[in-house]
Amino acid sequence: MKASVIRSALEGHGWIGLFISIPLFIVFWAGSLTLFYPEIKAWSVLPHTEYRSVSDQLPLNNILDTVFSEYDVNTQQRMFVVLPTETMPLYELHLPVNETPSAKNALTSIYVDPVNGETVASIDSFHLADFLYGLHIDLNLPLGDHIVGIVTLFFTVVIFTGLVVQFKKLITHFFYYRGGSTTLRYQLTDMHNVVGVMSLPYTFMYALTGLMFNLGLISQIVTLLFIYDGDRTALLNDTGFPRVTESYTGIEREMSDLNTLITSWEEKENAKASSLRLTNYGDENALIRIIGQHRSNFSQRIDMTYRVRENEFSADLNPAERNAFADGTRFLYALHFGHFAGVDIRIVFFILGLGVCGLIVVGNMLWLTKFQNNRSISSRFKHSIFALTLGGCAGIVPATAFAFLLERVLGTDLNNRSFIVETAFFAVYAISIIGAFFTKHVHLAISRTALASGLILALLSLIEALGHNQAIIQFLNNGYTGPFSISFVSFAFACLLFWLGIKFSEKDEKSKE
Amino acid sequence: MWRKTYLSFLIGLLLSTSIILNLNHFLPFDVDVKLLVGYILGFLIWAGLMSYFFCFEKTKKPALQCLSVLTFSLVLNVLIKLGVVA
Repeated sequence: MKASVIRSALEGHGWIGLFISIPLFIVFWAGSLTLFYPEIKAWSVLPHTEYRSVSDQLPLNNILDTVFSEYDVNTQQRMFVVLPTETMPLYELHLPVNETPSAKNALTSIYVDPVNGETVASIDSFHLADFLYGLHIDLNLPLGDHIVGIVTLFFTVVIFTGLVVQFKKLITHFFYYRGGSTTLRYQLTDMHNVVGVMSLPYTFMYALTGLMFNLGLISQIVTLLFIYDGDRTALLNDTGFPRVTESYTGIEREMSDLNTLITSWEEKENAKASSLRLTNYGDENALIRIIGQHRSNFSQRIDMTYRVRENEFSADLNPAERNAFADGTRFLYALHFGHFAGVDIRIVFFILGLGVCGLIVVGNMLWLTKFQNNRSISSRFKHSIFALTLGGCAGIVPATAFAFLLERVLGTDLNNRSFIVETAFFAVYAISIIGAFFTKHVHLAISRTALASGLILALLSLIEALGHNQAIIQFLNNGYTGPFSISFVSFAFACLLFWLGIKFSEKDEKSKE
Repeated sequence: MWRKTYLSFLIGLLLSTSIILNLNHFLPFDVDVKLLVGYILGFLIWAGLMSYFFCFEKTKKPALQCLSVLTFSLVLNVLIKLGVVA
């Protein structure tokens, strides 16, 4: 490959990388945490509830009846039921309640106790996991999914240009790290290359799947306009996502026993049901859609609709042949969130995700080191990049730690609980970024950020140990490890951050001498 | 660099869309497979074309090359749409 090609690709790699670095860092940071979405959800809500034996559970129909007596549910619309899992022993119900004060089409989301059908809490009050998920997919910004899509597109370009730059040395320099024997710039280059090459399959998978999820609209519009001439129904049918609807008749009909239906469906399909979609519940035209995972086929989702009137999974609603598009996209979704295997693969993905965060920081440091003495780039611009890298990357750690702390300590009946947690996150993050613009000693700033974050997490651990230990241990003893795992990891991170803080403090002392 | 970024973004989008529409017509697969292939390849071609732009010092050469291919691909799109090409 010509030297000029490598030089141009490297210039493009650095240029694009620099501009997308902060949003990409946030996406990867939040994405790494989102890998443990079910555990974080369980950690948020379970310590506020009482453990009850699984054997005492009410039938799902009775639970729905109890909920309907409590809420004015519009059964003509579709409602969602997420079944209890090995992580979360509660039902999650998303109900279309009449005269909901919130936005149109908004659903009222509640956790329901499977033992007595009573509402345990509003899902919206324990919003941390969803907030982190939102941060990952759309930065919690209006039109954020498109912004993240564009960032992901440029991220793919960064991967491709990085490959062009590294192509010749991909194998020979695979673990090439010069360590302390060379200058800082070469150390950073080696660090960037080693982590970049090692995480290549992972980053490529994320770039591709992220693009497909966030910029999929472009693909849909093009396909709809140029291939299907605007026929949306035909497109949805061909992609394996047909819109199944039935009109509401107003004629009452007794519903099938949902537990029996789920059990027989699981046996017949060799699958584990995870959620239900109920349309026209209690009506002649009621539909029950069961979604689950095949027990032995690799990451295969089974999605079937039961027509209550006919007492069967009607052939017109459930095509006999599987759809490659639907299966392919669902598989990629599972790949993206590490759903295709156990917790071990999610831990590997988590480490790799944090590795990419490190890659981004090192990339920016490399750019700053390279152009430190370049007078064609204004010093203000260089300082802004420095401050954004420091505050934008390091600042997310105390912001996240503080959000976790508030999620635990705020009262469950507090109005706008979620809003307070989210505002606190952004406030700490903003303070960190602003503070970075006035920082002169990098090591000292990192040391203080790490120590502050460690202190917040240590406080969280202390509060959990004193106030919620019984509930957490009780759930742990009964196989619900989520709350304990998150508490333990918080404590481990507190220790790690204290260690990092002390190390950077020592480094700062040395640099002053 | 800004110019290179804008141009590569736009030309990459148009060319990848056009290529995928042609591929969708000619690939001998079932419709669901063709849609999946188009969905995945479209983004890869787009990002690949942008990367191609960034492998040149000047924008002119890759832009001319890509525009030539785009013209050919667009003509094929129109011929397919009109039913001239089966």
